[in-house]
Amino acid sequence: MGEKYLLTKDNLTAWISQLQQHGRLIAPVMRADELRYDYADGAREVVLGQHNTRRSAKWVFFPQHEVLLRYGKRLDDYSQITDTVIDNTPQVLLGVTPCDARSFVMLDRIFGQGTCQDPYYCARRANTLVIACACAHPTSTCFCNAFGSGPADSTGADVLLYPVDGDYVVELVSDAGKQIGLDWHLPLANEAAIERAEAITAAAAERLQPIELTAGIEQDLAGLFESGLWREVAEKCIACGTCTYNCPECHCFNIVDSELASGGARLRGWDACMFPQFTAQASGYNPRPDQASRWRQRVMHKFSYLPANVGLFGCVGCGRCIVSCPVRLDIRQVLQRVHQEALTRAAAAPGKEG
Amino acid sequence: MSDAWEPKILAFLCNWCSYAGADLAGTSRIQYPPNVRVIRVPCSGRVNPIFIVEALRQGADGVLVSGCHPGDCHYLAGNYYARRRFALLQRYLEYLGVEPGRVQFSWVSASEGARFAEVVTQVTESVRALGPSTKLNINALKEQV
Amino acid sequence: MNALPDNVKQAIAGWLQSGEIELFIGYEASSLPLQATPAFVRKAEDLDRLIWDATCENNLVSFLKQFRGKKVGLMVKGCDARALVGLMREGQLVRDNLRIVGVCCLGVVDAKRVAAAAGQAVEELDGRVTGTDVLTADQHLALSSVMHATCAACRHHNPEIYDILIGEPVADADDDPFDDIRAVEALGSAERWARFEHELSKCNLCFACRNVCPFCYCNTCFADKTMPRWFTATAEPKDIQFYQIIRTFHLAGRCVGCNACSRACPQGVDLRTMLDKLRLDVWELYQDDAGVNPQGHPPLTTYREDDDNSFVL
Repeated sequence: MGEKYLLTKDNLTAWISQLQQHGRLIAPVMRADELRYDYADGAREVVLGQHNTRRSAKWVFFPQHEVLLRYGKRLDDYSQITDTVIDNTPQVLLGVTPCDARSFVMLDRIFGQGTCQDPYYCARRANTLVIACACAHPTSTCFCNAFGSGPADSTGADVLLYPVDGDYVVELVSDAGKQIGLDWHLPLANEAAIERAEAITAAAAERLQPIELTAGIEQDLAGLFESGLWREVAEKCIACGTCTYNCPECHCFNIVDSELASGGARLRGWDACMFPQFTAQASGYNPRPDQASRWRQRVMHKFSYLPANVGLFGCVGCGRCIVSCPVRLDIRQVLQRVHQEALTRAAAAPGKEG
Repeated sequence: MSDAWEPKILAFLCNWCSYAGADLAGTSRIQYPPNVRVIRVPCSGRVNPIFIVEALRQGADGVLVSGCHPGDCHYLAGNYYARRRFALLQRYLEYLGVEPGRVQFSWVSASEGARFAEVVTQVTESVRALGPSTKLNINALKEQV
Repeated sequence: MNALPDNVKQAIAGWLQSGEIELFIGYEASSLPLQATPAFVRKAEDLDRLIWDATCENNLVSFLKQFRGKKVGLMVKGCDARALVGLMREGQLVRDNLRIVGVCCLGVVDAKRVAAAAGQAVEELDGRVTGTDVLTADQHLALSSVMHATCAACRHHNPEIYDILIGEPVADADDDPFDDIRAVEALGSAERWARFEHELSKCNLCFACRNVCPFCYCNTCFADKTMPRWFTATAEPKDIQFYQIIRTFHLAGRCVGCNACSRACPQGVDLRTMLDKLRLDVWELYQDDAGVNPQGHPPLTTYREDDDNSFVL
């Protein structure tokens, strides 16, 4: 660990103004009765160190919809196609929870690495400084500990703030964070503040209920593709997109043309595996014809395909899907049932085991 | 682009009465404002409320739906069904905050060329008084950006 | 939380065992405080899981879309029973296929309001319900102070139809159920638009409102149609407004005011004051209240020659 600095409550406003010099500020703010990540005017609006927002911060890099190109309506003139100019505006994303910061690492593997790099995503990601705030308020739906993470996980953050009774201990995590952090000229944090910061996050970690969800989950799932479990799980699902929209890691998208009389736009927008239209084909055929197969996709994608393909689970344990589900379907219970079902199967067919 | 704003009004006219009424206005050389763009529909009952809201969304400053007088529907009762739908839609849009007068309804028969001109004049002037439509109008937004 | 009374459990067990129904839909405790979750029971021995109390906020009638033509039992509150009646009028349900456990309901808890009163996140609450009292770790709240806004406006606490009833019928207030709609009507046009815009700025287009609506049973919703494509799901406020106007208007004369949509909305959008406007106008213009009579025609599928014509130029 590098040096840690102290940001006192008296300096917070000035510091946030400094951040605004660096780039457009995005932080948790109250909008229409909801605490959410949004463009913030300044320190006055920023709400730091609260429990998770209802919606995640993924829109900052992967917006709910974006225009990829616009086109005119004259059939004889295709030169009217205009690509969207890539936005290189510097941004500061302040006050994300560690689980949100960690989700960006997974999104990077989808949109930002390998052979398919998304220029829109990459531009936003490269121009955004992520300042996470260690979590002092995990709630009963938090299960980041199931993924080996915790309230002071700095993965995915450039800078990590530890809340200490109104002040903050500042840890510069990434190279980008270290570079910009030097400009802040913050004093070094003393031992007492660092100890207090560690005690607060340790206490937060204590409050997380011990939970084991991920051990062997990929192997468990491997045998359950045709299981009746999915029908049972999906039975009360109303097929809305709340869980996937609010999820920091869900990244399925759809590309559609939106037409107006004056012309059109090619849009990329969030899709959701819970929607009946998900993967529906032009012919009318849908390889996932019912909610059970869509739920299977949701769980398999997060806990089997993604670990196999990009080496990370598609879940950070933020618990948003549990809190916001209109019928309170709990993914932790689903995973526990997956384990149980796998155990039952193994017991029924001992010869096939190992 | 001209400097004076002119209201754009979309009119859904039933084939059997109001469209013929508009035709009569034309062949009779009756003057009326050129602000309406007409879409001919088989019956006022064919006009789905979504057409009206979509018209406002795509930038119409006003919408007029016109059909046969009650009792004169070519399909016997299409306009009666339409009337219930439109009564509710007009009240609903106004309740949500769309200015009264953006969406209007009339009955004009095939023999009422002068009446058609009168209706169009009235609608055009009331929409002109309201100014350009910005609520629901997706184009109004693009100009801001 | 209350287990179901023995006589009710026995009746349901009887229906399941005799094959009168193949499935019973009720409520059970969820992993979140003060919010029950729908439960699907096929075996009599599982009936012990079921509960009824003021945490049972979902309208289970919504699930009948998945079981068309099947014999199903379910629990309904007063508001939910109206949805059953409305669906029967639209020819979507057959009474004989249903076994209905009605509950007299005094309102259901809005966990978000309790959380606000306790200064905690919903998921952090240590809360439970006994009768009409909501207890948190250090507070004792009256149900009426923390129930959903939809329940405060409810004038249908007792189910219209049922086979067995839980609880004693509750007196319904006979005051004007639409007084808050009239209050909105009294505002200026610009104020009403600002209100509508603000409310829908919360919407993130997850479609929970549509999916829980018992009356949203179109095979393909206009919002999902691609030919013609009426609607593109973007976060653009004007697209969201378009969707909400069209969806709610499609419920004109059909909405029974069960408000499952408002309660299901994870973003807390107040859809009730939109839909209740339609219900009010349908009542004023056509004297129809969907959810009362399983016979007859929805008001937009019929007409009278002397219907109001005053709005026509």
